[in-house]
Amino acid sequence: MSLIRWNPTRELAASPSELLSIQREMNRLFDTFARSDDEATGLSMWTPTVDIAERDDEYVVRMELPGVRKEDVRITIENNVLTIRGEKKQEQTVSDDAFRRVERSYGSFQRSFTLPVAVRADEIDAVAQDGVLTVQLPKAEEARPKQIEVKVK
Amino acid sequence: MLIRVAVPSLLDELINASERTIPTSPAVDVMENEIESVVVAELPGVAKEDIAVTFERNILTLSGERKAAQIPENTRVLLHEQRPRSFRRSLRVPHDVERTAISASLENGLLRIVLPKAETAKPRVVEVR
Repeated sequence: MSLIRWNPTRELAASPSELLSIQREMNRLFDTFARSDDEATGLSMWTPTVDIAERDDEYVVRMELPGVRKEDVRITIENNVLTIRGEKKQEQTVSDDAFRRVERSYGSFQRSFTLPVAVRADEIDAVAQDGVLTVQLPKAEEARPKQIEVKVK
Repeated sequence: MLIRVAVPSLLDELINASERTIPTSPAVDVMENEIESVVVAELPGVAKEDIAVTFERNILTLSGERKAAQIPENTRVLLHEQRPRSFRRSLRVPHDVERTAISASLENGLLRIVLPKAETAKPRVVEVR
């Protein structure tokens, strides 16, 4: 199983996007309507958070995608690797709107997960509700736990 | 072996305790035009009835709780990044607001609060005679 818990601090390796997120946090500390600068840089990478649960017959993946339209999400499965990618687009606003504050991250995202056992690719189901995407992946028949009764003679 | 098991779980407990008590600060966008200000906050997975929005002395406060998802029996959690926790955010609005006309809606994990400007806060054109 190659799933590793996402640890934000581990990624603090001085990449520009991480520095930006620190700046964003600092901006939040000073809670005024002051315009934040990170929109000007155009760098807005983000990583949606994910829960993954396993049951006897399926995997359930829940990804937080607030404000992402379902037509902007693509889910693919290849060689047991589930990939969810898409884009969070900034909504159109009236031309005289002034942005006082931009903290939400926009742009494309992508996350991939290697599933431990085969799933039935043609029966994967995905539902978007309340800004949460839920993907259900039924396990292939041969991957499900089986109970075999052995008669004792 | 025992220590290797006990220490991480103790750390987990400490982290969980701090996450339960310290509210998170949801990301917000704020737009302003001549007639109103609009605040958009990201609250994925939060139910409408678990959100409170208040406005007092020009401070807009949104608070509430993201409740834990129901985990059915016979479920093993493989990855857990979405922690149930409370959230709270206050913003000072830099103009007078028509308080009775404030509205809030929740859609696709976004809470949108519209704060219409009071007459006194709207730009006024003065004609030169």
